[in-house]
Amino acid sequence: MELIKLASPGGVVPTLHLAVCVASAILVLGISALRRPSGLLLVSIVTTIVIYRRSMFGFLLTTGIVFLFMLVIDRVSKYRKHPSRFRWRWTCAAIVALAVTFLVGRTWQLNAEGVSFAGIRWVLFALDMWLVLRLITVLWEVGSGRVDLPSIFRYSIWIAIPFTLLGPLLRYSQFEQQLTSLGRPGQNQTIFSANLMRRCALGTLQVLIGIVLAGVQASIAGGSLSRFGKLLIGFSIAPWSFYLLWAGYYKLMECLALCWGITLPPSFNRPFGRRNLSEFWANWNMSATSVFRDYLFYNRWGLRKANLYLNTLIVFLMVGAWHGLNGYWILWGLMHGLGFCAYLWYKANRSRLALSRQNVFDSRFRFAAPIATYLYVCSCWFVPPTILKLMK
Amino acid sequence: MTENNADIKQRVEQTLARAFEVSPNEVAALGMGLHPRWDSMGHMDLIMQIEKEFGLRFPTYEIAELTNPAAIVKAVERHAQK
Repeated sequence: MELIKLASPGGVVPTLHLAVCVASAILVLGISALRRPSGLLLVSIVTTIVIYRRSMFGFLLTTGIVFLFMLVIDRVSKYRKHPSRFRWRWTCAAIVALAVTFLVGRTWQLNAEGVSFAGIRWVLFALDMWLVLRLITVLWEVGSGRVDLPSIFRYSIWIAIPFTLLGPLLRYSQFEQQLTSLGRPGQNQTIFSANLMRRCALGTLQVLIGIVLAGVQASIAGGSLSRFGKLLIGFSIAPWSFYLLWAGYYKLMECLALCWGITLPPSFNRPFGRRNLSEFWANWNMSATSVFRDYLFYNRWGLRKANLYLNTLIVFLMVGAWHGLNGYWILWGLMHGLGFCAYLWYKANRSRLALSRQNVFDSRFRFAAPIATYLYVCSCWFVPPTILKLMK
Repeated sequence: MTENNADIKQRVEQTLARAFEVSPNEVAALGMGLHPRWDSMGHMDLIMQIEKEFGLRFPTYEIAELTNPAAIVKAVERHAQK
């Protein structure tokens, strides 16, 4: 099961990345020369090389192509009759091309391919799920005119900030707003405050509990699983293990980024226990889901009037494809999409339903809603393999 | 502010008050996520109502930015000038 694989202790905690982020935060705090933008760029480049290693060439190639594209479009659009329209159209085409490249590359596992040079097999395809999202956001923001074309210097720092390499997502516009505080952690009053220390401790605790739960899960899954064992993993251990690991991890990234004077957007806000799927998704991996909402849900897709049901299905199918273009994630996206559509329909017809049942349905549902939402979210993770098995 | 801009502000506020069923003096405090009905679905409904009210069409990339009354007024004024 995908979630079990994702939440296994050996596979999921990116210890190297965590160590590199801690080291880079300490370096910047300890050496004043590194607190200048040029110093931050140097640390960013070194950390990116350590993280990407053989994929570094692919990383440079992809990010370089995107920057060159933005530069060319910016220059060419100045000679056009409708520069903003020209820029936006080409940006949309580039976003589609980038998304298709990402999906094709992941499906055919191009990141396993490479060319040999100087005794090292260099990987040319390094478009991971967070990098593609960051590149899409910068294309969108520059193409729409939301931000000006960044300088190569600012773009390089932003794309290589170690704390965002594996998420959470910091959009370029959010980074640009913080340029004045960049490298000046002392100016940020929250640095070393009691609140920050508390958040750091909480993040560490969440990661540790997540690791312990993943260990428990691995030991249960190691034996022959009874139906009860599967249910126990599916609806209690695996979702919490995965959530705690990543919520804690991203919280740690937020704390470490403050050492560079960078405020990262929050990622998780107690998503379990929410009353409906809308609330769940508004609090789950927020930095990423907000991108899908802003770019895909707030869209008409060429129609005169936006169709929220269609948009919902597109959003969740794309979120599924972002995780992996395979049957599991497509079914996962479809289940979430259909569940969300059902909620939309209920919301639109709530007043009629409540009237016909004299508000009984609403008042009872208030208690059952968080449980039903939790069970549905867990089902979306664990039902797809069964459906796929039945389809075979 | 010109007469036209004041009119736009008033009409935007009226549309917001209608959409979220609040009194006109509560409109200034509204914002996405600050009112229970102004979530992502409520946002799309609101955008469609604003577009209908002013007979305009916001481009896709602008919709996500319109998260408070002031931003909506500014965007409508910008479109009215075109």
